[in-house]
Amino acid sequence: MIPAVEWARELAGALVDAARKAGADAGDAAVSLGSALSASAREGTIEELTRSSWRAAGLRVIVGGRLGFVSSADAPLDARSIRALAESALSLARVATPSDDNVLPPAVPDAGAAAREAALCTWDDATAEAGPDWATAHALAMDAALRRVPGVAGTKDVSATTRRGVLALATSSGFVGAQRGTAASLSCTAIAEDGGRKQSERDWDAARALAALRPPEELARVAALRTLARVGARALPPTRAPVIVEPSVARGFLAALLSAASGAAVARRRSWLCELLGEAVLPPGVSVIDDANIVGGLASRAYDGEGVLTPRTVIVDEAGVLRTLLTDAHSAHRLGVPLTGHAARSATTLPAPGSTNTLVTGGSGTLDDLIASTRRGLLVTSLLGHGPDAVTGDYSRGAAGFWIEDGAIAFPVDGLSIAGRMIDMLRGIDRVAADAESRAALRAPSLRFAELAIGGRESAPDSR
Amino acid sequence: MRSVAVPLLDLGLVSRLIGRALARGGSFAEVYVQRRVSVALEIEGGEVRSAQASHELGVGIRVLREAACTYAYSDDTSEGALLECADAAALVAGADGEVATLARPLAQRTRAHHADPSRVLTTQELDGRVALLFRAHEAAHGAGTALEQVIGTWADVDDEVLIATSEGLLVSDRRALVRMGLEVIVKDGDGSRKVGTAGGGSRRGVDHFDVQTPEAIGAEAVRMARAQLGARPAPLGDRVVVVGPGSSGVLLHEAVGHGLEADFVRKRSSVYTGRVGQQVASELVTVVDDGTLPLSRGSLNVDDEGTPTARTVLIERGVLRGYLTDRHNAELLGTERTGNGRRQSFRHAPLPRMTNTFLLRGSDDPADIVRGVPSGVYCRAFGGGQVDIANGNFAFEVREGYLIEDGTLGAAIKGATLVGNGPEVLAKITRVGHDGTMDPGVYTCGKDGQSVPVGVGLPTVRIDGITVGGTAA
Repeated sequence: MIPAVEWARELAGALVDAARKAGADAGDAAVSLGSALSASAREGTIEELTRSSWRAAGLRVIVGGRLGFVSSADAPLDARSIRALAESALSLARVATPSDDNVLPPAVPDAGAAAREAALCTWDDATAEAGPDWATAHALAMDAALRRVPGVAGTKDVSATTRRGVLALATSSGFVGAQRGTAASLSCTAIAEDGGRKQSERDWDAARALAALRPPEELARVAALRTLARVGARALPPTRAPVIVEPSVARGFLAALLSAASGAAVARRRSWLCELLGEAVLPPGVSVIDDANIVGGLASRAYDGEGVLTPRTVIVDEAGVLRTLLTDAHSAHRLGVPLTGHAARSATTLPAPGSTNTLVTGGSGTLDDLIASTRRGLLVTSLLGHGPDAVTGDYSRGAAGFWIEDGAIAFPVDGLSIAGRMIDMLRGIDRVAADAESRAALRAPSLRFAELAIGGRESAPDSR
Repeated sequence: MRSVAVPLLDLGLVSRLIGRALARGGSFAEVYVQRRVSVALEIEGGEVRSAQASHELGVGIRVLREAACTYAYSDDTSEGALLECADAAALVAGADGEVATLARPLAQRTRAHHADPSRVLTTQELDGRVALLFRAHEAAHGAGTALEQVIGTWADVDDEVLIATSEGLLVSDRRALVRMGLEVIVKDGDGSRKVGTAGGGSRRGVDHFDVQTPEAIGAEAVRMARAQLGARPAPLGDRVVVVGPGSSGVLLHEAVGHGLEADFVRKRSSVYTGRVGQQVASELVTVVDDGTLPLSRGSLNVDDEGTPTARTVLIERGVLRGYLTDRHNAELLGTERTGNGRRQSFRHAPLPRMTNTFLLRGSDDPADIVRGVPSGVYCRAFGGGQVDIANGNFAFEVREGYLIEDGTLGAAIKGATLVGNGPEVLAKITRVGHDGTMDPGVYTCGKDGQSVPVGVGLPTVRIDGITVGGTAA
């Protein structure tokens, strides 16, 4: 892997040099290189084994304030094709409108990046070196464990994956770096019969290191229990009630908040948070903090997609007030707000602001505590559809979960909707737990919305 | 300039890869070579923010043995890397595999292509694309409404594929795809903002916009945003819903389409498993998937396994007739290949996917359908949707909707989600209009992390009871 890191770094540098020679005022290049192995199992055998390998390069150029970007998943290997890619980027820039906002961050040669990266433990040798045997054994173990549970009628999407890669970055302002990362994940879904229809639920885990994953048998057990708990789900008549969301569902609300807090979205007026910088967006006592420096974090990194150090960033403070937007160089310049070092980037996409590991702090207790403190309400365990609308913040999605009576789960429900306006919904959160999971970069805890509109119908079509 | 007759990869090497891939006992091997050039432009507030292009060339190698599949891909197309890739794909048979299948010699079959194969990207062409976006932008600004924002996006793709199999199949195909979208934002009296979106595209290439003009797209986006001024909260609960023609086909795509894809059926995870020959919808419902519609966004000459696309009747007068198959699932289920084996790119193994999926037109006058509803909701424009395959529950987003009161369209309602159950909703279709049309060519379908362009279509349809996920009592 070490020679590959050097290769990626050199190619990134060569692309930037070629862009400068071809007439670019400024530019940066990202080169990614990596491979993945994935196995899926069904009925005791390996159903699919996939080996991926990629090698891609992307080049951004700025010439006369005009922006051009070209990427190639057919990575250039010789001087001639490197030059061709640079010329292609410049010819694209010619049709763009000049703008002062097309800037790169100031030069920051970063001698400490490699040491910081090593301390973040983004690389795990065991994951990087795992062969097909690890993936097939883990997929088969989940499959077997699922089918051992009485009541499980089938399985789907039972898979194990390992991945390793490097992303190198070079900029015309003098930054050169390469970051390595590994990830491993397990996922399994159980199917149960439910009077002519079926129910399915999944469990999954993900980590930088193999050893940090939960055992496959445990995932299978949780997926099976979650699925069996859904059997007999029924409809509800429309109502208004407190709505609790478990961490995996709460994560979607956190993601929506973070994408609305993107400097690029706000600059384009495509955010329901446009006028809310400095205003309360959450109840007091709940903070949202982005932290790229968590050891072993799935989104941890030593610098962002433009070579800028990403500090721990308080997005929503203890008073519930939106303190900052997430910015890259372009959006920070355009909005006249601070650069936060949140350029997200792959080799094949233009940099754009995005969160890293994000935490929600200030909560206490667990999902069970939220349920116990709710006399009558809805627990949502899965959602269907999309939302909220990025511009208006109107939120409406299909929902399934459990009805709560007297602080305990009463019966499974489905075919429901939950709806509201994002900002009203977020401000109306009245309970926050402290049960966030590290299996995703967005670590959201269970939440309770004080009251939401819940749509449904009088009875299920095939109610029994 | 390359003619389509020149293969993307040396055919001698392709044959060697197939041989290597079968070396450990696989029963079928396939090499998929793809070259793709994509162009993306964005204008915002009358300025071209960025111009982007991407180039891809890569090879995916698949080996099958009974129900098992291995897939390996590489975007390093050197002989050494590809042979390594073929060796990885051969693993399906395990270490003890013996050579049971010999590859047949390749026989070239070049399909007619929809696009002009001589098309290469020039500065003039880039300027031409920008000019089309600006025409839409100008039309939006000329529509007589103050606009807070206008964002236009352009994407076009030139795709070349070569598919070779151990059965001797050798197919080349070339596929163009173009799409323009325009989004406008207007301020409402209460300070809230309303969004209008319009767009379209097809496999016709840039000429598509001779037919669907940028001016029409600009005007439609503004009309949609303006229609929502003063919109009130959508109702909450069961309503009679009339969906307008065209992009409402998303409902069909989610409510029934995915559940009829053969992989879900074979794995018995679909609510439609084992129901061929049964009444699964109202007698007014005939659902067709047709990959041969001329130049439509979801159309293909051949699918991504080289099977010619077809018109497949899925539901006929409410009775389930069959499923959408790729090669692998057709073989395992013992049914015909329908030409629905599709993949996002050489990085993905094919899956059974929809192409253009629509409900055949009925005999009712669309205006008459609305007149017959004393109280309900009319939905004109739609966003995306999602379905839970196992139980058939789905949700999809209404971008433009109205109350129906005493048979006439009333106040606009803020975007709500319609929540329903596929088989249940299909049984509740009580009127079908004679105005069936396809959507304008903007939809992309996601499944198992793979996105492919699709067409959807539905005439004006009345559904007697579906949950409207609003907030108003």
